[in-house]
Amino acid sequence: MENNYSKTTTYTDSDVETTQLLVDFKEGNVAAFSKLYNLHINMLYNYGYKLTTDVELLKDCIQEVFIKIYNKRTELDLILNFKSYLLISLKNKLCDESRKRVHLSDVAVEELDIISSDNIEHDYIAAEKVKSNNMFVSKMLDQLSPRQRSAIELYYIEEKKYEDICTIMNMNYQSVRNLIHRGILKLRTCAV
Amino acid sequence: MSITIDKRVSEILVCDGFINYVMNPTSLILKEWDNYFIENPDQIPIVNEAKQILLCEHDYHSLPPFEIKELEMRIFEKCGIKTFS
Repeated sequence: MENNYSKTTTYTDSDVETTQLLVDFKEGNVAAFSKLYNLHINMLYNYGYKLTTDVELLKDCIQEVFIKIYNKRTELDLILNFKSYLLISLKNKLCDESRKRVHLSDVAVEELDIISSDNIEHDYIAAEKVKSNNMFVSKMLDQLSPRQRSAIELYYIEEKKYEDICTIMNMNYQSVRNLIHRGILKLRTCAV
Repeated sequence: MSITIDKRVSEILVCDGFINYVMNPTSLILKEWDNYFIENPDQIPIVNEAKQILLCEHDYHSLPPFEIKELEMRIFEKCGIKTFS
């Protein structure tokens, strides 16, 4: 690796040129490394800024990403898409650093809004659970008579008062209570 | 982390599969995402917004030129690269 800028090549801002820059960089052209940095710094910074507003942390992480690229330059052939590689490396670095800072500080993990693939998985599982519960409730309600179902939906889901349900269903107070009571008993039987 | 954009957009932004979909869309990746959109049409506007952010199409943030240069110098110094500046 030549430790200077003596090799000067004219590069244009394009993916094709990125490929050529990577080849030149691997062959020892430091100017190519500089150009790779300058071609992608704005894209990286803009992306990172959407994940953290801590500019110093972001700059530190970008720095680490490029140092890693420099140190692993002999393995550059393994990178399928340089832009994807940069963005994913930066995102991983930001997540790692955020986790480290949580570990070193008194702030509880629950108090921090850290975006990571763990959150996505957690949200996905939670959403699936809600979906599953909704399906179960819907299936159970299908076991009721139409009037029982209406009364229970009005009372438990729409949170209406007995008096309101009496008006909506044109029934007296005791009949509504009996209807809901019988519906609940039926749901309990079905759920066992 | 950021509080300026929708949480759902942020979550898409940190997904490796999404980054590859935008930056390196092979036919296999495109097919997978097409299937995902068919099953989850509500996700289309969220993914489109994340895509615009990733491609720097709106709300663009950049470092001032002198900070870009300063960061480059820091990287070069850490890598042990000598410069003429």
